[in-house]
Amino acid sequence: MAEETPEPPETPNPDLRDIDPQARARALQSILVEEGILSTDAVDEVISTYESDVGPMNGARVVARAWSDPDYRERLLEDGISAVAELDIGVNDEVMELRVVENTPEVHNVVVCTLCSCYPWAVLGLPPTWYKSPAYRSRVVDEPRALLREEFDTDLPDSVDVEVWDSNSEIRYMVLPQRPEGTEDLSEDGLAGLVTRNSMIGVKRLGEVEA
Amino acid sequence: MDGIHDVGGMDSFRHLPPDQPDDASPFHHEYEGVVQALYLAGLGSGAFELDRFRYELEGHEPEYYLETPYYERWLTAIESLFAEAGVVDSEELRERARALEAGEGEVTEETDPERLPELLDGVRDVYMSEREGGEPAFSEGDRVRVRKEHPSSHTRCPRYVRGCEGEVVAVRGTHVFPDANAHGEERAEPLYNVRFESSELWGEANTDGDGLHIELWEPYLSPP
Repeated sequence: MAEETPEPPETPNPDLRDIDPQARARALQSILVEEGILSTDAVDEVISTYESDVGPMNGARVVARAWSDPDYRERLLEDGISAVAELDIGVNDEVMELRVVENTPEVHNVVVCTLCSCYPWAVLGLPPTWYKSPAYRSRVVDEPRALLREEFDTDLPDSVDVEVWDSNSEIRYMVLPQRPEGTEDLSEDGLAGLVTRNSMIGVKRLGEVEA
Repeated sequence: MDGIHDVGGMDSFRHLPPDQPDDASPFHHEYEGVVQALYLAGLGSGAFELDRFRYELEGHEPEYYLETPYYERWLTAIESLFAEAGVVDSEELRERARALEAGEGEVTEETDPERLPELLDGVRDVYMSEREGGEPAFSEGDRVRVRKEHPSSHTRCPRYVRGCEGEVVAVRGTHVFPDANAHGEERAEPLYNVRFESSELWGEANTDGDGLHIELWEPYLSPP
């Protein structure tokens, strides 16, 4: 093959970049399986776990419990991941440090990772594409109100302060949204059904535009 | 490093990609889920550190970083790091990938139910970054100023907070210091949650936010 053109040293693995990523991923998988570092069932299980077992529904259960049980809410705000582990949703409390920040009538919180894509996998699953995009990461820190209004139809009144949480360490953040009005009669399951991923990232407020 | 990854406050990226339903798969192509597994294999087997992985991504040329899909960039970084760790040979990887692309090779299959739990134990250890360490120099309520440093090596101190003054709102214990860990030295430093007034970061006229919270390690900080 005539692929031996010298490349500048600052471009790592240039030849690999020209190959279809599907072939590259499976090639590396094959070598790692042969080396005993990975197994075929491990790959399949990782994929199915992120496709069906972890996701925003877990965070929604946590929020619904916090709305229904004031003691649980206290524990959640004190030590997020231990409180999550109480609900038997398949996380152990050593998987990450989680901080839950609570929205109030006066304060709205929104989460970002400006440097990469840190996100509370254990409670929300893997992040949506927009969360990882430079467009979100660049703008939410300096123009959070404009971004929420223009991209998510979330129009925050001036009376509500906006606090942005840039999660650059291994501590992860999740927003505890406000319980919408008129939900006093709902069961915990019913409440969980109202809670969306975007409300737990903080780009939406429940009960105003969404519920 | 002042790489393209450090986008906080940059203008003109325009609109966000479309939203996805809450129950949508996080993967848009089959290979993306495989890359997620390769990533966990790298971290969990100790082939590379989380901070080293981030540094690898940050080092990609800005054009490549912005134009390449997320999981494809991850794959490029993971390939480089497995090669650097001596686990794979780049030449062999290239040959295998070319063969698969041409529909000629086979994907090696082997089942081992013990593999994933072992890897996930290793992954968990990577993400639990709190360690025993020295006494923190700052306390809740202290005013601090972020040092104006522009290292060309890895850092988790984004450009937009450098030189700015904020308030320590929480002491988070001592955590592995990414700036050293990405370069082969694991040591713990006190970590703080610091809140900045948005106007301090951007100037009153250039922001519509009120406050910004971020975790900063002690070496990033000085008294005001």
